[in-house]
Amino acid sequence: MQPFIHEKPIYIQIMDRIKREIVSKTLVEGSPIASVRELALQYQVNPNTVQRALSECEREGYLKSDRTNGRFVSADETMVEELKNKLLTQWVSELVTQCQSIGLDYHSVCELVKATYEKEGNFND
Amino acid sequence: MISIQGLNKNYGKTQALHDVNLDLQPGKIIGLCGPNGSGKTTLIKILNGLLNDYQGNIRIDGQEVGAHSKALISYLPDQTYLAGWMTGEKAIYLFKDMYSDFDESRMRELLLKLKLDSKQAIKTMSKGMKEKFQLALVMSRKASIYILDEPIGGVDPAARELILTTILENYNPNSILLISTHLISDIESIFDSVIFLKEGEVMLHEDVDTLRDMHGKSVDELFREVFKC
Amino acid sequence: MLIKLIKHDLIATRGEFFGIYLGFLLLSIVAPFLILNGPEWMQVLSVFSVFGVLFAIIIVTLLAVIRLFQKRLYSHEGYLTWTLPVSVKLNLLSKVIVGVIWNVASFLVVWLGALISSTIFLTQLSTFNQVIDTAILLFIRSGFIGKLFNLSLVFLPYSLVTLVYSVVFLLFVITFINTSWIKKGRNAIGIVLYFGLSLVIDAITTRFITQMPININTENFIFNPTDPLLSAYQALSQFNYTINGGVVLAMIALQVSFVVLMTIGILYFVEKKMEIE
Repeated sequence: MQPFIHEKPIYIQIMDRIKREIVSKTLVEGSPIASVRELALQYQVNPNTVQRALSECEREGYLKSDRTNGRFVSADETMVEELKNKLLTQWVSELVTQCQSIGLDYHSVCELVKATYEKEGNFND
Repeated sequence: MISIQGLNKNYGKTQALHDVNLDLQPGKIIGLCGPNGSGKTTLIKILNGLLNDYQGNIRIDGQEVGAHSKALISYLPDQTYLAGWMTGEKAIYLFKDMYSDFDESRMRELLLKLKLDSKQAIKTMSKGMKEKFQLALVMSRKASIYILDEPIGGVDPAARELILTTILENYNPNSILLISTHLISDIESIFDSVIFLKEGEVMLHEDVDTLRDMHGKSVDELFREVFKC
Repeated sequence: MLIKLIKHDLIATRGEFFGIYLGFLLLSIVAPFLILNGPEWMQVLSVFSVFGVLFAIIIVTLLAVIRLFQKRLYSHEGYLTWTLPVSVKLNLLSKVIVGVIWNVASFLVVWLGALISSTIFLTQLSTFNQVIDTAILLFIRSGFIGKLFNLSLVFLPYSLVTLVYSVVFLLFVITFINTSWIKKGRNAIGIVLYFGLSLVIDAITTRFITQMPININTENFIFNPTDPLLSAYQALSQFNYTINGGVVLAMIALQVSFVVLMTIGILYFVEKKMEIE
């Protein structure tokens, strides 16, 4: 099954996925990344799309490629923090844009965020 | 690698293709999208030398449609083209004999993966099996150009996934892969670029991610908009 | 490449002939025995069967060639044929050659059957040695074989040209009805065109050629019922003919011209007007 939506460029979604896995420690420093072909087959997307995503990740610094071992994660603590912040900024920005577009104000949003965290028991993290 | 200039084709008063200009480069998976009757199959037949009454210029690898271009193209039509009495084995023998780029070991692999019996006669195969078999034959060639006409039309989701996997696993990254379809949502993630064909005219020819960026929509949504009326 | 095309076309069509060739040859073995030894109804049945199967071979061959052209070139099988990595000319040439091959094959099978049947007849009616002696007398000592050989030297190329002509003619008609000009009633138009065009070509031919290509001398033949063998020997030794060289050449030239014209036509139809459904 396909994990990507078609409304956004898929290469961006692949990058997001990799960033998430790095931040959530599913992928750690040195973890190998599957080859372009394997990922293309797994996600059933165009190999060029995968290639673009991985190249962009390399360009942004958290993937490196090595002739013998292929691509692997190259993210030290600082980088992981940076990615975490980037993702957070991105998601919050999307949330704010969405809420503003339907007229939800800052307080309503904050209240809802607080309530959701309380319900899911992570408020004190 | 495929260059189409000023292509016009009419059937009597109906204009099937109108001033089509396209330049297709290798290394891309290209979607040829349009509703039924938009001219996709007509265009594909012309590229394959099955339709020779038209105006315009076609150059494939620099040459006109002929023996050279046919050797470069591996074509999957939208229907059964193998003779009914033929068995799978005979079809494989024919392809092996006539196409120097046919890879028999890949074919055998695909037969196993697709669970096909090559000793069966074509006419005794179910529609789904015929389609899979013909797909296997086409993808077993190491061609420079693959042209697939509606490869996923009318198949169930499981078969569709199998077909897409087969296509992705076997296509040569240096080749052109041209896939015509009217069902875009199932397949848009594998396209590099798409061509929208409406009533014989090219409405757009663009990279898919550029389209998604520009419009914030899926190619499928965009397609529906363009073809609404 | 041409050899491969021919090979695959033969493989594709051989199924249509296997049964009837086998049937005919078996019949040519069985029928003489039935005719010589069986009751009258069986004799009659045998004779009718032989002619029936003979006629069937002619029909089957014609239908097979028509199917070869119509199906493998212009039906959905055309998708395979026309996308093979060969030129249009080679594809068409292979089909014509295979059409000729099957006609020759049928001809040979019929002759083989005749040979088998007559050998059986003769060996049943007399001993094998007698048969050989008679054969040598009738055919070799009379000089008949020699004359026949010379005759076939002339007529073999002529027959071949005629055969190629008729196969190309068939291809011409079938190709024409599959062009984009004809949208409906293809079969009917095909039949009409076939016969119509034959008449036209016949008329043109008789305009140019007013004599027979060969005259066989039959004046001195007297059949003596008391000694049929001697009569046969006399007839065969006095067998004589004159070949009108000019007429033969003219007929060959005319047919070759028609073949050339039709080939140009076929190529034009395919390269400019073909549309496979």
